[in-house]
Amino acid sequence: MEVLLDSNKKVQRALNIFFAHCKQFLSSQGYVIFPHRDLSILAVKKGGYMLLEASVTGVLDEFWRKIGESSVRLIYPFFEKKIIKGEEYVKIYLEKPVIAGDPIVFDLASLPKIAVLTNEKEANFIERGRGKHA
Amino acid sequence: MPEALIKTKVQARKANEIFANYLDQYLKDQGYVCLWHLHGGITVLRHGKRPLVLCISLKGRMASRKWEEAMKLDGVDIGVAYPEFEITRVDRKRYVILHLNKPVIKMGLSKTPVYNAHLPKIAYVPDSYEAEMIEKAGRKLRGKVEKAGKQEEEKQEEISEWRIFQRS
Repeated sequence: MEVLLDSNKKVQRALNIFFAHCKQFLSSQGYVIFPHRDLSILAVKKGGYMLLEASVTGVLDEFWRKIGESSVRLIYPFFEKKIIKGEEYVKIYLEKPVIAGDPIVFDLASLPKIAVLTNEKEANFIERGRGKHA
Repeated sequence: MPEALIKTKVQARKANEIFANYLDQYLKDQGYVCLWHLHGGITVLRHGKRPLVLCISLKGRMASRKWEEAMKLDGVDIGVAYPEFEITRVDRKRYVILHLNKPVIKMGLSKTPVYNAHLPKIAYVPDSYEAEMIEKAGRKLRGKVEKAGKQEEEKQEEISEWRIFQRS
């Protein structure tokens, strides 16, 4: 299923869905995870840890630079650029988290995004939400 | 000092929330950066050191197995934050007084409460408003709720729709 993320609300909901998949992914890899309210995750492994920020735009939040935290890495959805009717889009696969090696990997902030999912409920949630406006 | 008797779980949750805010301030005053967990804990970033992951508990006990697992992995420091406490006697009955504005940090695993958890708890707070908040926690407020700004309202809406979705 594909959902065009044409509003900030949809992007936020897509980020929430992606964050849930990140947690599942890291747990399945044997990490003990501590998810934070700001959508970052502390993932603990044998003798070490990773501090990850979930992002669908590929850019680390300014916050980390301000506090001088350089160990934080990005966890982003696998993505591919597509030309649809002559316009450039980015398809982001929310069920496929990728851990970045570099602090800033890419910048998708300016490109229209299409979320790709297999779960219908999740797709509907991104499209419509489940609150008052459901 | 204003005080509030903690009788219900909802009141305990409110007291815990007030304590967490004091803990956050206490850690920030020492120059640390705090990241709040989704489920009642704080990650403390300490420059040059590995993170300290704190469980916040009025009883000083880590209830979840997760802490044990994290301890075994030895990738971060773990600890529990609880309020300074004292045992007092009122009319022959024993109570635990919790100073919510005075956090104590105990490093390492803590699987048992730091005091007899069956004793009734009294929260001590510097602000009478906070005591009132604890006492009134869980009661429906009629006509007293201030209307939040539009932005705050939208944010709350987003959070609630996400919670509803997660539960479904």
